[in-house]
Amino acid sequence: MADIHKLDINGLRTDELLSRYIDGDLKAGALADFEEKLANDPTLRLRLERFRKHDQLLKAASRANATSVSPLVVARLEQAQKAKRPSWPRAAAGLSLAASIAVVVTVGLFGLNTDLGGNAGFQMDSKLAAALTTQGSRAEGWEAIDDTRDFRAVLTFPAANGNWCREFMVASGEEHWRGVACRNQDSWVTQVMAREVFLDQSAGYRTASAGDIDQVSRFIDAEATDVALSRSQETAVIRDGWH
Amino acid sequence: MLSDAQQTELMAELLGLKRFCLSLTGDAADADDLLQLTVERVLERGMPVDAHVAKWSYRVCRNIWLDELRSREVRQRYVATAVVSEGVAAESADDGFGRVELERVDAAMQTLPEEQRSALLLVAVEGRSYAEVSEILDIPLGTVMSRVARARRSLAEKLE
Repeated sequence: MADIHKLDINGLRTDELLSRYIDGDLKAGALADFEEKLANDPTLRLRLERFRKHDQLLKAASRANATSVSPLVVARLEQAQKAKRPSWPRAAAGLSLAASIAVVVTVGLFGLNTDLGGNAGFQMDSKLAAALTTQGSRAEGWEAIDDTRDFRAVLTFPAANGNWCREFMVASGEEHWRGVACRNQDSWVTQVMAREVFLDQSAGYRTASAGDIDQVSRFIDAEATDVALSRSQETAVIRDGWH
Repeated sequence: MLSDAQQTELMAELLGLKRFCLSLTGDAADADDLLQLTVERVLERGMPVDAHVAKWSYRVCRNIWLDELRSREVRQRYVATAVVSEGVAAESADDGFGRVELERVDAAMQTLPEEQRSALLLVAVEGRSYAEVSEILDIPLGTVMSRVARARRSLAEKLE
């Protein structure tokens, strides 16, 4: 039986060729030479099998150790993408101010079962709740939920208490809210909201600053127990009525 | 500033970057922090329009980590840190390996020098070519070959 511990004195050189063979780095001539060597050397073949098995183990272990990325990182990238897009159709259409004037941001942090009436000018209502219940998350584009408001679900994630939560955006005129609502029994309860008012539309849609969104991102980072759902996972949850 | 295409590519690369962060830091919390710093740095400073997003991001990531090590002066502390996350058990069934095997390879990997660890991870796990790793780690092609071979050799010694 082959003894994999008894390699030739140029073991490292041989291991380098083995590695290059495994990684597809050997060119035609060297490849043919090495394959001939492999065919005639059972010890070398055994070592090749070992290396390949270790690679598979390493791949499995590495992937198991990194199955998700912090929602904060994902949210940061998504925010950067949105910040560049002049894509706030209804808000932009009604604005003609050319100069940079001001950005007003109001952030509200709400506990469960808090009455949101009047806070940050935002109110959870049946139409918004229906949108949260039925709309899939999207990276761009809006869905009108009534004559004055557009809605976009951003992502869905599980909270520590086991309830589903959704980050979402609502645009109305030149006002824009970003927030998180979580399921509480059969209803949606707003957890955190950031309200942004953009008076400068000369360069199209812009976020105010990282600060306002940070409030929402920090909430997600603190509450999310797992990575945001994929499209198929989210579709299944919506189909199952958020149970 | 990144183009839309670059940001989309970066988004698709996040899990690979996370694995690279883990291979560098050997610690899940440090890996999360490193990934976040990497994304922030890339977004802040951008990259050339013709840059390869993955290669650029991995380089940024590694540079941040080297800066961090220099500032902490605790490079050795990370070499011996073995990390086995609870996720190993959950994922192991899909790959046909047992938890014990994955823990062993994980622990063995963490004993390798960082330069071997990162080279092997990029090649064997992320499927990068030697030429790409040469660019990412900023080392000659021959050094990549040597590091990958040494890493596999050391792993074999530790796992047999």
